[in-house]
Amino acid sequence: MASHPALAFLVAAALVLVLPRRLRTVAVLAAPVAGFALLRQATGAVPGTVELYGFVLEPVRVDNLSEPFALVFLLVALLAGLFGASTMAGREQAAALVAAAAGLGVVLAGDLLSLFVAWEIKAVATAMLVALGGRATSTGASLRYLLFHVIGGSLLLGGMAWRLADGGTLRFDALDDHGGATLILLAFLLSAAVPPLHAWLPDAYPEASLAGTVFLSAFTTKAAVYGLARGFDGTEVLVYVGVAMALYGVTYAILENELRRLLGYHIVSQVGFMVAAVGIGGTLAVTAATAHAFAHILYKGLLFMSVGALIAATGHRRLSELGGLARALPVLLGLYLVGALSISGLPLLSGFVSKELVVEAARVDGRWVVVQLLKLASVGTFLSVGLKLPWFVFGGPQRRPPLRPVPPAMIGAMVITAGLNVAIGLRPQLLYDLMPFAVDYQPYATYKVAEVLQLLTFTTLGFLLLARKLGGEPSITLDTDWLYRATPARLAAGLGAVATDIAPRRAALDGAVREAAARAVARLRAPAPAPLVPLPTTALGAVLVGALLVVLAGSVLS
Amino acid sequence: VRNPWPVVAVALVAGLVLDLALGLTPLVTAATGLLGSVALVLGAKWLGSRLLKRPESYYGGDHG
Repeated sequence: MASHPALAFLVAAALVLVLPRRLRTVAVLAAPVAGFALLRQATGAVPGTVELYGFVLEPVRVDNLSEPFALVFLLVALLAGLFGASTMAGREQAAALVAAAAGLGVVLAGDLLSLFVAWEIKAVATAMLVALGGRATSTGASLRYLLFHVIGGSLLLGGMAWRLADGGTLRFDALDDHGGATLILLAFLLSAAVPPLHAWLPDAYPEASLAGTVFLSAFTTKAAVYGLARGFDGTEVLVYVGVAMALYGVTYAILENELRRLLGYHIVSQVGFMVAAVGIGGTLAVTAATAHAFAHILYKGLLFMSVGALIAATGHRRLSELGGLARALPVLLGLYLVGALSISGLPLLSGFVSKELVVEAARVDGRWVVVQLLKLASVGTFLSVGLKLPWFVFGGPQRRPPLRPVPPAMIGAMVITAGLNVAIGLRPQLLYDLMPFAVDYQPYATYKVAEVLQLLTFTTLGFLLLARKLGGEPSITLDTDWLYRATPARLAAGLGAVATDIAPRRAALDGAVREAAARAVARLRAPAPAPLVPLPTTALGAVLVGALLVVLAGSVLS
Repeated sequence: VRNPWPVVAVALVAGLVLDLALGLTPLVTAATGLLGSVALVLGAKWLGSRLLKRPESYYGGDHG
C-alpha cells in the first residue's frame, strides 16, 4: 500500500518541536515536498485497504476529485510555511503541520471512519493554531472554535453510526437519502461555515498569528467543500444555501472594520459559490466548485498574507487606524491588489477563471436568478476587498504609524503566490488540467470579458458615489455568535440582578412581619375592656318579640 | 471625486452601446453593478445602524 502523504507532515511536526529555528524551517518546507512525492506515488498505485474490527478502511484514495484538493493543500502548506518561517514558533509550526496532515487525511479518505479520525485531528490542530495566536483573546476564540468543531465531529460520528446501524457501509462516496447522511451533511455545512453556523470563522481566524491565519484559511472550509462535492453532489438545497452564503458574507464584509475579520467574511461568501455549484450538480458544476476552491486557496492565501504583512509592518489591524500607506508600502499594495482583483474576478487573474466557471454552471442549468445573485455577490466582493480596503488603507489621508520592515520570507511567499494567481489567469488550462473532469470552456470569450469589466466598472462608480459611507468605524458587528457569547452573560447578570433585588424586599417583608407580631403581642398584653351587650342580639330579640306580638294580635282579631 | 454623475452618465451610454454591439441584454450588467453596489452599501449600513453595530468593548474585551 502506498504511504500516506500526511506522514511527511507528521514527521516534520515532531521534528520542529526539537530542532533549532533554521532546521525547523527546512523541516516545514520539506514536508510538503515529500508529501507531493508520496501523493505522486499513491496516484498510480492500487488503493490499499486496512481491515479493523471487521471494517474495511481505505485511508489513501487518490482519484480525480481528491487529487486537486490534495495538490492545493500541499501547495498552500509550502507557501504558508515559507510565509511564517521567520515569525512562527516551534509549537505553532507543529500545529500547522498537523493541521495540513489532517486536511490531507480528510480529502484522501476513502471511508467515513478514516475521514472522521482526520476530521477530529484537524479540529484540534486548527484550534491549537488559534490558541497560539498570542493575543489575550485567542484562547477564548479557540475554545468557541473547538466547541463548534466538536459538535460537527459528533454529527459526523452520529451519521456514520446511524448508517452502519441500518445496514450501510463505511465507504465514502455519494451518500444516499438517509437520516445518517443528513447528519453528515450538517457536519459538512457547519465546517463550511454556512450561516447561521458560521460565526466561529470570523471570530477565530483573526485571533491566530499572521501565518496561522493563512493555514486556517486553506484547510477547514475547503475540506468541507470536498466532503460536500463527494457526498452531496446535486443536493438542491445547497444551491440556495450557497447563494445565501455568498450574499451574507459580502454584507458583513461591507460593515467590518477589522482587516482579517473582513477577509474572513469573504471566505463565507466565496465558499458560498462553491456550495451553490455543488448543489447544481453534474460534472461541470463539481469541476467549477473544485476549480474555485483551488483558486480561492491561492488568492485568499495571498490576501491573508498581504494583510498579515501590513499588520506586521504597521502594528495596526483596523481600517479606522490606517491610511495613506501607498507610498510607504508600494510592493505590498501591488501584491494585495493581485489577490483583491483576483477574488473580484478581474480577467487575467485566477478568480476570473474559476468564478466564471461557477456562473457558467448555473447558466447552463438554466438558473437565471442564481446567476444574477452570484453576480451581485461579486459586486459586494469587489466593493469591500477590491475598493474599500485598499482605498482606506493605502489611499486617503496620511495616518501612517512608524513602519517596521516586512521579513523577506513573507515577501517571497507573497510574490510566489501572486505569480501562481497570474499564471492561472493567463493560462486557465493550467488549472483546468488538474480538475476532476475535462473542461470544455473558454472564459476569454469577448462577451464574458466585456460583461465582467462592465460589472466592475459600474461597481467602482457605485463605490465613488457612496465612498464616504464606507470608511472604517471603531466598532464591532454583532453576528450569530451573539447568541452564545452575550446571552449566557446576560442570563447570569439577570440571575444576579434577581438575587440582589430579592435581598432588600426580603428585609422589608421581615420588618413588616416583625412589626405586625409586636402589635399583636402588645394587644394581648393590654387590660381586657368591660363586657358590652352586643347590639345585634338585642336588636334581633326585639324583632322576634315584635313579630310574635303581631302574630298573636292577628290571631285574636281574626 | 466631487461630482461623479457625468462619469456615470457617460459610462451608462458606453455600456448600452457595448451591450447592443455584443448582443447582451441592454444595461442589465450596468444595473447589477451600479444599483447592486448602492443597494448593498445602503442595506448593510441600515442593518448596521439599526441592529448590528456595537462598541468595541461590547463583549467585555473578549473580541478581536
